[in-house]
Amino acid sequence: MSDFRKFTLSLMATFGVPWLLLIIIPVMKYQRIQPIPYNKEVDGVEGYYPPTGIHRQGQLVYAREGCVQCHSQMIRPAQLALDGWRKGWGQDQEARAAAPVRSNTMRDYLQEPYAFLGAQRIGPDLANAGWRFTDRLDVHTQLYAPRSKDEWSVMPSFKHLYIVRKQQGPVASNALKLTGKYAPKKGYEVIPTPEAEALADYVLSLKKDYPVPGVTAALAAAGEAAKK
Amino acid sequence: MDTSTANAELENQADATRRAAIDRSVKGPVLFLFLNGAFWLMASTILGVLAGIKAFAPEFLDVSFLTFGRLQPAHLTALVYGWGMQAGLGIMLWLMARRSGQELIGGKSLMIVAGVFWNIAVSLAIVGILAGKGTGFEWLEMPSYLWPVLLVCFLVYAWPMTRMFARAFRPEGFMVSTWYVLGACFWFPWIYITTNVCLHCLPGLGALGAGVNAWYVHGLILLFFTPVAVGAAYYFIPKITGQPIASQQLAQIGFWLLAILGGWTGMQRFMGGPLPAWMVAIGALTGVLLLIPVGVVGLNHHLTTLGKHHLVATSPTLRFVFFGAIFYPVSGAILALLSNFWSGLNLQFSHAWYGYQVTAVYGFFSMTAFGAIYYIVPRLAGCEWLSVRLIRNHFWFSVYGIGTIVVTSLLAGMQQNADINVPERWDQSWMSVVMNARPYLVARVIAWALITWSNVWFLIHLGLMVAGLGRRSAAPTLLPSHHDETDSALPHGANA
Amino acid sequence: MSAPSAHPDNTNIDRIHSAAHREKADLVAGSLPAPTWVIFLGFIVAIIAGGQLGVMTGGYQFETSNPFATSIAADPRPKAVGGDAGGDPFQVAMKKGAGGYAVCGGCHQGNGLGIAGQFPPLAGSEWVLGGTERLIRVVQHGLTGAITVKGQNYNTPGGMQAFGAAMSAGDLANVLTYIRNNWGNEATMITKEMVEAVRTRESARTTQWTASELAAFEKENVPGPIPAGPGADAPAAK
Repeated sequence: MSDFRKFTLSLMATFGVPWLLLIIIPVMKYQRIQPIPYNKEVDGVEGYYPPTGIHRQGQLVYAREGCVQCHSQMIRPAQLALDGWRKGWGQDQEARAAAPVRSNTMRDYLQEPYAFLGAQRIGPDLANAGWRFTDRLDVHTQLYAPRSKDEWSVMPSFKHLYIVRKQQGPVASNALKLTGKYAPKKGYEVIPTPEAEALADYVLSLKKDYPVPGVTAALAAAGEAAKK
Repeated sequence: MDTSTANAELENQADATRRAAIDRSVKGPVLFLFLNGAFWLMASTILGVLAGIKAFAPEFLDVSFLTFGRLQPAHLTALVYGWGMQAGLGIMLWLMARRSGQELIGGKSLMIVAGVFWNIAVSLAIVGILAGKGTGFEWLEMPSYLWPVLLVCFLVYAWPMTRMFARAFRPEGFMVSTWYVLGACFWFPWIYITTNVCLHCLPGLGALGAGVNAWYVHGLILLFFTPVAVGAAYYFIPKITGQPIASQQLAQIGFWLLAILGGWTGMQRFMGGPLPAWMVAIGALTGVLLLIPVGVVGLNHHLTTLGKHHLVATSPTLRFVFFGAIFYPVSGAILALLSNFWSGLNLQFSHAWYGYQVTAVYGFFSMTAFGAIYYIVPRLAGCEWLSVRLIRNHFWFSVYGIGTIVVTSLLAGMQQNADINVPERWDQSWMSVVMNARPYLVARVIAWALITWSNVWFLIHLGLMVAGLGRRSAAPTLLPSHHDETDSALPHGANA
Repeated sequence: MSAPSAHPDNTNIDRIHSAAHREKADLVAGSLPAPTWVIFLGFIVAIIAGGQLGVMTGGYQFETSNPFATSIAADPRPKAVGGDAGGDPFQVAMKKGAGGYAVCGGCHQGNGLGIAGQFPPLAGSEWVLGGTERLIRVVQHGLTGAITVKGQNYNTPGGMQAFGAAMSAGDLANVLTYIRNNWGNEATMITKEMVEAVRTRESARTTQWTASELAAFEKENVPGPIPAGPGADAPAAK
């Protein structure tokens, strides 16, 4: 065998092994993953895990606007990082939760064509943002005028996803409620475009704190045993 | 005595003629790539300044196509595909032609056409990202129809290079630079096709898609930018110092370890996350193990330069390549810091990741590429660089700028960790994270601004050279050393 | 230096030639062997790298993303400081309830075990852990007659007085939360609103309850949001 052939074959072998083991085989295995059914007695809920998917149209807006550059969407295990213990990063928004928010698994992202796990945390994690926002208007206000909620925020104002138009009669039902310098001129209102509505749907669908069949119940049982 | 010097002189003439013929044969494509690359370099640093400003002052230039989420991907796309790959391809082409001892016969026009299409594709990518048509995939934010164009253009360059390697004729035998160049020709299309097919063509991969994306970014850095830069360093350091590569054994170890380990790493970006745990752990393992080839190559370069360090002061090429070669261990160290489970968890999802990308693509690859360009272009354009001061400014602004960005990104990452990951702050609002990162972001903006300034002049300088308007001289343009006052004349021809 | 004699811009190759001429020749690589200390350092790096494997591999299973999925993490957060402002309502209730329990401890004892045959225990008691409708009524209005607690019969003359009536709704809620979550008990907390709801509904009541009257409430919980503690659900409006 000539030197050239030997060399190229060695190159292909050294790269081909990780390519197969890290990419090809896992990708094939992934196509066969199915949702797991809950066991009502053990888990306390019915249905399938993961329960609901994310809003796909809204995720496209999320991708196009580059939200992934500032926001992550994964909670790390409490043994490794503080994510699970942080206030408001899970289902429980008010209190000092007794148990950490659970870490995200591969199935949490099952319905997503691509999981925007994140590049940097310039903004907070959004894995459970669906519980952090009280209603649609809250999401729209955050998108349109982030600094009206938090003065120190560096989140861009996605004004181009909203229309400022003259009021036609009574205030529209989906008009944003803004005050101060963020409110439009008198007689005008701010209406979300369909993209903004889709994005709001997506953000509100980000709920990844549902129990994992078997595991969450086992953890709770172990927790009680530890307490006693 | 007379006949041996006469023979040596004849051989030297023959060598020089052959080199000149090779240079002339690749002149068109290589200069085209370099000039366009330099333009995109300037564009990417300008986008970097804007993106950096938006990171702490979002109200500045508050228009839809200049939000941080669009500027940052545009900045990185211009840096990687506009500058990095074009400069890389140009260097690869020249290196492969020279070291395989063959002229490029035929296919030149096809290469120029491919180059044109490459630049059109990159332009469409940047415009598309800023217009809000990006995909959101890291380093692949370009609109989804563009990736096949870039792939085909790359193959137009890679195919002749592979053929040259196969037919190489060099009496010295072992040619580590060509190994690296051929490796890059192989690895990039493989990684690129795999990732794009997975992300664009397969029905949906969820979290695994993000893992493949992270693998792609690391693969591009470790198996394209690193080989091109290391291959160039292995060529230029012996060439300018006049000393052979110190150890063939070390060079082989360095190459094969990189080849073996480079494809395994990447998924540790999402440690603690939804990827299969063993893939993350193996990524962490190889991320740390990559310190070995980095160290081996660094040692080899160091041993090769022993005794000739004064040449770093006078030769622009050696100066840039030397500092690029210093950034190689730095980038390897940052990768190790980001990859292992102790410090990596604290630097995850922080500015340190951006710092690593810049270190690898700008600090290591680009500085080495600048050195290569300062060497190659006079040989293709037939004239010498015009202004010593411009070269010196280019060097110092780049070094200070990149150094600042690397250091501030790491510090910003550690600061973010102190704000996000510390148990005492579990219930604090996000305000401290934002406010504490601000000074580092301001420093980053200033650094990119300085670099932009030097890149504008680099582009102009390079443009003049390509147009053939450089200095007509047989002597190279050298940087003044501090021994000028004592020496009677600059050393002629010895250092370039 | 062999400069071309004719005009320097004559031929491309002449100009390129002069630069190529002054280049140094390519050299064969040296044969320095890899130094031993390099191999030694390499081993140290390999050991550190190897430290990334182990538990973090999750047993090399494709399905395992979190190797710690079934283990409990220790809470690294500093202990909550007392006080209502920003405090966890459950913790606050436990603290205050502990103080308010002093009155109850006279009969039910500090350890919640009561006195056999006289005062029923609270620890593990189905009356405490069962329906909150029943529990609130017992303490609010008192209890008389024979009852069975944890398999034992109790019929103290005079029964239990209406201790809850003398307390504010908040204090009563705190004490009840406390007894439901102390001595190994664990149950949902009782809020002030729940106590008030029961008081409103039974405002006409003046006499103690009997066990049979309370049978209907045995498993009934007062509806209302559970802001914190075990079984807490989504919060009410901020």
